[in-house]
Parts: sequence; C-alpha cells; structure tokens
Amino acid sequence: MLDDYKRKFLNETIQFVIFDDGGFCLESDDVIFKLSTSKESLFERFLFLESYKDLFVNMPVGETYEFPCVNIEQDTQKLYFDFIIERIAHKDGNATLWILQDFTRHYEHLIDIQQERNDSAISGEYHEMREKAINLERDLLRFQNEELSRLQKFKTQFYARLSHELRTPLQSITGLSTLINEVQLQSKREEYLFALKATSKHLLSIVNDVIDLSKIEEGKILINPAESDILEILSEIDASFRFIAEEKGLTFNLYKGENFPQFAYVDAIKLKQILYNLLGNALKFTSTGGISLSISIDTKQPDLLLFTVSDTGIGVPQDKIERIFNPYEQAASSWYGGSGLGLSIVKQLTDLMGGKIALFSEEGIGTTVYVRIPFKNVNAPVNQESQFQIEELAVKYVLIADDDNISQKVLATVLNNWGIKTEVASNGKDFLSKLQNQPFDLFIIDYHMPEMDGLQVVDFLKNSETFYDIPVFMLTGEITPKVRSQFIEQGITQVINKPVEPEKLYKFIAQLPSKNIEKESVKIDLTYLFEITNNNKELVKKLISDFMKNAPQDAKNIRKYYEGGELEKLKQVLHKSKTNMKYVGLHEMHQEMEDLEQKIKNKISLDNSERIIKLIERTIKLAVEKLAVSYKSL
Amino acid sequence: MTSKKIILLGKYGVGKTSLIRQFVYNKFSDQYLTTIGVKIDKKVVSVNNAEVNLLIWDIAGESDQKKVPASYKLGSHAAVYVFDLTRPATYENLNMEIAMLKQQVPNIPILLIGNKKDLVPVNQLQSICEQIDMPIDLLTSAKTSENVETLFFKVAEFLI
Repeated sequence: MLDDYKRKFLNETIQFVIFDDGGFCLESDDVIFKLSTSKESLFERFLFLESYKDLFVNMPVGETYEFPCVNIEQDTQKLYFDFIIERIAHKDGNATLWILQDFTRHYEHLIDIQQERNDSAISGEYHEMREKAINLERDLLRFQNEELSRLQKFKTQFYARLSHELRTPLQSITGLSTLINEVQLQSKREEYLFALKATSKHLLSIVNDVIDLSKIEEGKILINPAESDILEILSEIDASFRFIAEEKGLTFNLYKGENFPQFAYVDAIKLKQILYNLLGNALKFTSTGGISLSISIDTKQPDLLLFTVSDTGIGVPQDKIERIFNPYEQAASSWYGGSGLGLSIVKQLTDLMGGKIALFSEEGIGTTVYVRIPFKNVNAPVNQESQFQIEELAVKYVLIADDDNISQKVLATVLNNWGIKTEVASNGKDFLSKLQNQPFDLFIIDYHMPEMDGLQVVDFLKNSETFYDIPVFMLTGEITPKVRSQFIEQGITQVINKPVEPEKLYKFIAQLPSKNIEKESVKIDLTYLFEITNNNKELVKKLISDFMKNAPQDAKNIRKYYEGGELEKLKQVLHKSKTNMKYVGLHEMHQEMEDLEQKIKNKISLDNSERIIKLIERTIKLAVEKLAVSYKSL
Repeated sequence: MTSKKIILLGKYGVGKTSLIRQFVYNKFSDQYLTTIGVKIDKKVVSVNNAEVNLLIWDIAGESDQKKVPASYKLGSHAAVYVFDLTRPATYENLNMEIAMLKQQVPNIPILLIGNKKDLVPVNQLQSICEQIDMPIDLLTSAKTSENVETLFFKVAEFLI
C-alpha cells in the first residue's frame, strides 16, 4: 500500500525525460509536461536546456549535474523545479537524461521566508547606515563645538588684549589733546603734537591690521598677479627700511642673488605687504645688530622666488613658533604691542599667493623667515623706461601731503625723476599753509592724516575759488568701490592705493588734461536770452539764476550716470542740459552733448568719453562763474 | 544564431531582476520581490550586424557568493556582478567576491555594475566609486533605464 502512495506521489511530482543532442525527446513519462509526442526540440521550449545545448554533446557518459530551484513559467503559472542532468548511453547513441522534480509548493513557502529575511536585512543595513551617519554627525558637532569654544576663548582673550591695545593710545590721544589745549609753551606744545601724531599712527596701524585680517578671512582679498619690477620693489623697500633702521642704530642689508629675475609675474602689492610686515616685525623686535632681506631663486624649485628676512632681535620662544602664524592664538599668547596680527596676515597672504612660509628662531639670537612665492618669468617691458622720459607731462609742480615722511620721500623722489617739482607737507594744516607758495598743477593728499584728514583738505580745496579746479589724487589703503566712487563724487580726480605704484601714478598723471586747452573753451553769450525775452532783464536774470542752480547738478548727474553706466538716465540729463547750454551761448558744448547723446542712442561705446565728461564739468563750472558776474551787472 | 549564457550575480536587493526586466520587457517596479534559485530570460540583440541570443540567468542574491550553487555558473559565457550604490554592504567585499568568481568561471568577461544610480546625488558618486577601489564598468539605473541597454550590448560585444 505504501508503495502505491509512493508511486502516486512520485508520478505527480517527478518526470523523467531522455533527449538526443538535437533536443528531441526520445523518451518521457510525461508526468508534468507532455513531451513524448512533441515534434519540437526541447531546446526551443526550455531556456534552461537551450543554455546548455552545446554542453551536453561534450559531456562524458555518467557525468551528472544538479540544479536546485529553477523557475519555469507554464501558462502564467510559476513553477519551481530541481533538475538533474545526466549523460547516458542510449540505444540510439549517447543522450541526456533530464529529471524534473516539481518543488513549487516547497519553494513558494521558502520565497515568503526569504523575502522577509532579505527585507529585514536590507532595512537593518539602512538602519545601521543611519546610525553611523547620526554618530558621525554627532562627532562632527561635538568637534565643531569644541573648536568653537576654543576659538571663542582665544577670541575673548584676543579682544581683551586688543581693547587694551586700542584703549592705551586712545587714552594718550585724549590726554595729549587736553594738554595741548592747556599748555602755553610753544616748544612743549610741539612736543605733545609730535607724541599725538606718533600715537595716532600707532593706533591706525593696529586698526589696519585688524581690517586686513578680517578682509582675508572673509575672502575679500584677491590676488592680482601682473608683470612686476622686482628690482623696483626692492629699491622702494631699501629706501623705506634703511632710513628707519639707521635711525634706530641698526644695520640694514639687502642681498640680491645673482639669478633672480628683475621682472616677474606676481602680485606686487601683496608681495610688498608681506615684506613690509616681516621687515617691520624684524625692526620692532631688534634693538642691537641689524636686519636683512635677501632675494634669490629657490635652488630646489626654480619657479619659486625665495625671500629671506633675518634679524638679530629677541627671537621667538620655541614653544610659540608652531602657533606663531595663527591669528588670535598667537596674538593672545604673545603680545608685544601692536595688533599682533602681522604674521597671520603674512601667512595668509603667502598662502593666497600659492607660496610657503617658514620661521626659524632662537631666543636672544634672532629670527629668520623664509617666504617662497611662485612666479612666472616675464620679459622686461619694452620701452617702458623711455615712455616715461619721452612723453612730456602737463603736470610740472605737485604739492604732496602725507604725515609719513618715508612715503613723502619716496613719492617726491619718484615725481622728481619724471621732472616734476615737488613740495611736501606733513599734515593738512601744513598743506594749507603751503598752498599759497606756487601755482601747483596737482595735489597728492594722504587720506589718513592727523589734525585735518585728506577729505577735509579736499573739501577746503573744492570750495576755494583759486584751487577748486586743480586735480587731486587721494592716497589710501584698499577701499571699497563704493567709497572710491564717493571720493570721486567729492571732486577727487583719482584714488591711489598705498604703497604707490610708480607706473600707475605716471599713467594717472599723463591722463590729466592740459590746463591751457581747457581754460579757453568757455565763452558766454546772452544774446539769445535777451532775444527770446524781448530784452526783459528780470526774466533774463531769472533764467541765469535757474541755469546757475540747475547746471552744476546736471554736471554731477552726468558724472554719476556715466560712471555708473546708467546710460538711459545719462541720455535724459544730456538732452535736458544741452538746451540750457544753447541759451547761454555755449554752442560748442551744446554740440558735444548732442554728440554724446547720439552715441548713447546709437549704442556706441562710451569708452574714452572721460575727456568730454570732464569738459562738461569744467565748462559748466566756468560758465556758472562767468554768469554770476553777468548776473550782478544786470 | 549563437546563444550565450550570461549570469547576473550580486547580493540580494541590488536590482539584478529589475535590470533584466527593464532590458527584456521595458518594465520597472519599485516593489522589491526577492528571487529564489534562478530564473532564465532571453533576448536577441544585434551587435555589429551579428545577432546574439542572450540567455540571461538571474541568480538569487546571497549574502555570500559561496552559497550560490556552482552548477548555475556552469557553461557561462559572461558574468555581470551587480552592487547597489546606496548600500555599502553590497560593495564592501567586492575584491574578494570578484576574485572568487574569477576562480569559479575563469576566462570569461566579468563586468562590475553599480546600480540605482538615480538614487545617488551626482556629487556623491565620485566618492562611492573611490571607496570601491576597483574599476567599475558601468553605473546603471534600472528605474530610469540609464545604461541598461548599454550594459547588455557591452556584454554582447565581448561575446562576438
């Protein structure tokens, strides 16, 4: 009986098939699939067998393979089989025995278990990943918090010390100002003034350092490499530091390596800032011996310029060398006066320029700083020198105002070399007292000056009948474009960054128009006004008064819209103003304005229109002056 | 026409079945249905004016390739190892898995595929590929079908 059940079960779930090498059925018990009468090759019907059709031929008799859980789709029903393949010897030649065992029910049950297992494992993986990410984020936050509190602590210390450093000179300034007011003796007063000037300058240098560092940290400093004359930079440095070092009783040596290039593609301004800072530090911390600067090409990396600044000063303690370039930390831990940010600024500028800096020091012996800056070789500018000499400058006599006697000296030397006579003043008041001396062609004024700053001086000049039309160059540190345009609006002709680059200064001076050409261009003619008013003097006076009131504002707007690129507004104001020019007989001016208006209408570039804008400003200014006289006589 | 057996391997849930479904039937489902054992599909592709009958064996994903029956790999002409770009667990031991596969099916091309590209932000792909430290043949998305055809045509090119 058991055998019957066994046979019945096996008859339902196991099929035996023998097929030849072409896949045609030789024998089949057809328990599951009816194959015995099929004319079709089994290779066509079963992808499983098709996959092996080339394999069967080469199988030796007796070789067997088992394939568990093979999915077969039969009339949209999914079936799962275990297959056994065996190569056999058949009466018709070698053939293949294929045993199919239907385990569909068993495997269907297994699918559910497997699905659950895989789902759980995948969600476990995601859970683990989330945990890892959360832990990572937590670690990062903890690290950031620790870093923040560390930084906060240093900043607190830094600000406490900075406040102290700011308060000390401020207290001195307040005290000295009171003393100056009270003291009667002139010699004492001068002594206090000198101290006041020195203290203010010290205070300014601290503030400048803080501003510089914050600009660097905010990423507002950009490196602008350009063709630079390294020799010229060195000469400028030599002129500045030799004088100060000698005044302090120190030696100053400048060593130039044989192979360094005179001309290189680097940011000269930033390079100077680095060297000025390092040499300034060297001077500050050295009381005996001397300081030196050397320049050469790095022997290991010939694309690097190597600057070495050495001193015989107090040196840096070993435990502080590692952190000496860190802002706040360095400043908080070692305070020698000043902002203490100089080396931080140097380090960050060097990094920005793609360079490297290293400091070696021994306490009581001295310090050496190596700065390596990448550079590209450039050819010497052709005819640059001769350009300066060939072109005759319209400017012949310049009055310079700068409280820094080194800057004065450097600037005066540069101008003198171009054949320009100079007069120097050390502050605003001194400047005003020297104004009457000679007919100056140009004023170069430092923005930051004690007693009377650059803007106050400019304000005086622009309100003066004698000096309002003399061009003014303002010397400043780096300023924003907004402040620059405000300066221009106040009547300043050019804003020049310190330290002054001679080539730029030359260009600015060369661009100044010749006085003689401008002065002859204003001829007032009131005939037209009298004609249209039937000789009504009162009405003519009213129209002149309107012109004097409106035209200067128009000139200001013309300048503003021109510089701001607001062409539509510029066109409108030109259109309005040109008619007024005609009323007072300024026909040439009318035509110039008309031409400019047409340029805008026709979308022609206004490049190089600075001359005409200046002419408009000047013509209106002179016209108003002349009309004021006519107005009085009417 | 020549028939070529291609096996798709890799851990469970990496999208082997979805890649084949997309290639053979142009279909995709977000629902994950596990495969057990092996399922065989077929598609004829034409490469360089020659037709190839690709018999694609979708082998159930296992946590360890040692668990995959050796008979499944018998007579393979090419192997595609798939991993999931969103699950590091599926590509952590790739070096060993591929080395083992090379032992089991020597002298056949083996392609390494990162699937589910659509779920990974572009900026993270580079860092994942760097972690893997093995040359990846293609990054695919069964969902968007990106590079799916390319994958099987690349396999077919190897086999002609």
